[in-house]
Parts: sequence; C-alpha cells; structure tokens
Amino acid sequence: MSKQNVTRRQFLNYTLTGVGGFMAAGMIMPMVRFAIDPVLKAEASGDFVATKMKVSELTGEPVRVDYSFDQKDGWYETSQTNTAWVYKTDDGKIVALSPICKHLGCTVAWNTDKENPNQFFCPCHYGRYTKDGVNVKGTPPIAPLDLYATKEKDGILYLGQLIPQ
Amino acid sequence: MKWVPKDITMYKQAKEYVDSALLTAVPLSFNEEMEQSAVMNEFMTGLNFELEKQFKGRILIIPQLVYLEDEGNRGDLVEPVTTVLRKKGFKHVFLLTSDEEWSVEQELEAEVFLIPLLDPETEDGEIRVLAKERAQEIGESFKEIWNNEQKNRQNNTVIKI
Repeated sequence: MSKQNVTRRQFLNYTLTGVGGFMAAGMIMPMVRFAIDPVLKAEASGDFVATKMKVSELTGEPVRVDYSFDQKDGWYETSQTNTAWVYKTDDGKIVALSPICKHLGCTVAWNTDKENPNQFFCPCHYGRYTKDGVNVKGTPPIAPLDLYATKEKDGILYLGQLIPQ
Repeated sequence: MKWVPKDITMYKQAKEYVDSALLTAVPLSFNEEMEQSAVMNEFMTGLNFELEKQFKGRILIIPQLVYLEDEGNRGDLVEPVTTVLRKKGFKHVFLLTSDEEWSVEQELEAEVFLIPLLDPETEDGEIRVLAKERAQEIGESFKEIWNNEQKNRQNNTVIKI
C-alpha cells in the first residue's frame, strides 16, 4: 500500500510541471518553426517543371518549348501551358527566355519581323529584343526579357522560376 | 487585357497603346440549337483566352455580348457598344461570331470574323486544341490589319516630309 502513496503535494507538482511543460512547448515550438522556416522552405521554392525537350536537341537557334503544369487560378484548377524560347550558347550554356514582352505583356516570337532578322519581335507595338533577350533601344520595351532557371535531368530540359535580367 | 480589375488598372495606365477591342457574340438558344450554342460558347472562350495571351498589351477583351438568336437587327444590338468603343479611342473593333446574320450588316463599325460552326458533338479537349489553332490564324489577320495601318501611317509621314 505504502508504495503507491502519492502525496497531494507530489501530485500537484507533477500535474503543474506537465501542464506547464505543454504550455511552454506550445509557445516555443511555433517560434522555433518560424525561425528555421526559411531552411525548410528552400526545397519547395525551386519548382522545376519537365519539358518535352531533349537538351541534346538544342542548337544555337532559339526554339519554342511549351510545357504544362497544374495551376490554381481563383476557383479554377487548370492545366496551364507556358512557353519559353530556348537555345544553347556557343560555350554550351542553355538560355531559356520568357516570351512575355516587358512592355505590356504580349507574346514575343523569334525572327518574325522580316526587317529585323534574328531578333525577338513583339507584334503588338513592334518591340524588339536581341538574341540574349536585351531590349533594343528605341523600341517600346524598357527591360530585357525574363530568364528561366534551367536544369538538366536525364537529358531532359527542366524549367524553373523566372529571373528578371 | 481582360475585363478584370488588375488588367483594367493596367489599361488605364497604358490606354494609348491599347487600340483594339475584341467583342464576341454567341446567340443564346434554348431549342435544338442549345448544344451548338454551348459548344460555340466554349470555343469562343478558348479563342478569347488564346488571343488575349498573344496580344495582351494591345487588345482589350470586352465581356461577351448576350443576345437571343431570334432578336432582330444585329447591327442595332452592337452599334451602341462600337460607338462608345470608337469614342474611347479604339481604332479597331474585332467581332468574333459564328452567327451569319452579322455578316450581312454593312454598316457595322467593326471588323467581323465569321467563325465556322463546330460540330455540336465536339469534345471539350478537342475544342481547346481547335481554339488554339484558330486563334493563331485570327492572330495573323489582326497583325495584318495592324501592319497595313502602320504602313499607311509611315507613307503619310513620308509624303508630308
């Protein structure tokens, strides 16, 4: 009998320590979580999407690469298709440019203006960009085309986030 | 630009660059044409989406014009809208429709693009693919219309000098 004796004082001590411990943990855990949050998030932010393009098929000539991913837009969940203009530089680096014109957001295309060959051309207000995406002075755009982060995995081209140049 | 708050804000800041408006007219129908009407509605939505993506900075998408198929004169329906659009500085009003009655209207202050009807049995996925292809063709026509205007303007300037 005497073994199982727990005094009132001990009982209160145990419960108070236990409840207090839970409360302290409840307060400290979220703080710790917030503090290390950037570390945990870094993994998710580098969302790369696979394209159907083989890296070995890329040349110095920019080609249209379409890729699809699921996107939530308001209450629609749709499969969205985005486009990039991709080419390889002479030293083998892959350049993937966004086709969204930095003027007012139309879609630019490679080499479609007969008077200015080998440039990106915007059909809306005749904005032009050189091959590396830099806006041609004297045309409406005021900034270079955005660049995609690129990655190669199993010979397939992956496109990531947009990086303003 | 779409008729949504974000794009309208953009439109207000860049009005001088947005010289074209895109109108779409699909007749409402509740009789045996209802399926056809629904397919065309979906198809037109696709066309609007694709064209907006391609020409965001130059075209303002006007919300779809609603009318009944047996409603009388098509010109009377759209004339108040085109008049306002012209007054607001839109040099081009493009009208997408597959209702042939629009084509007989001579005095429409709009460039009418008569879109052939799709089979009412067309599947959703197929509609999207077709819309993408057709939007490319329509886009080429838009560019041509704009380019001609651009050339005329350049010619005029040359003559003045």
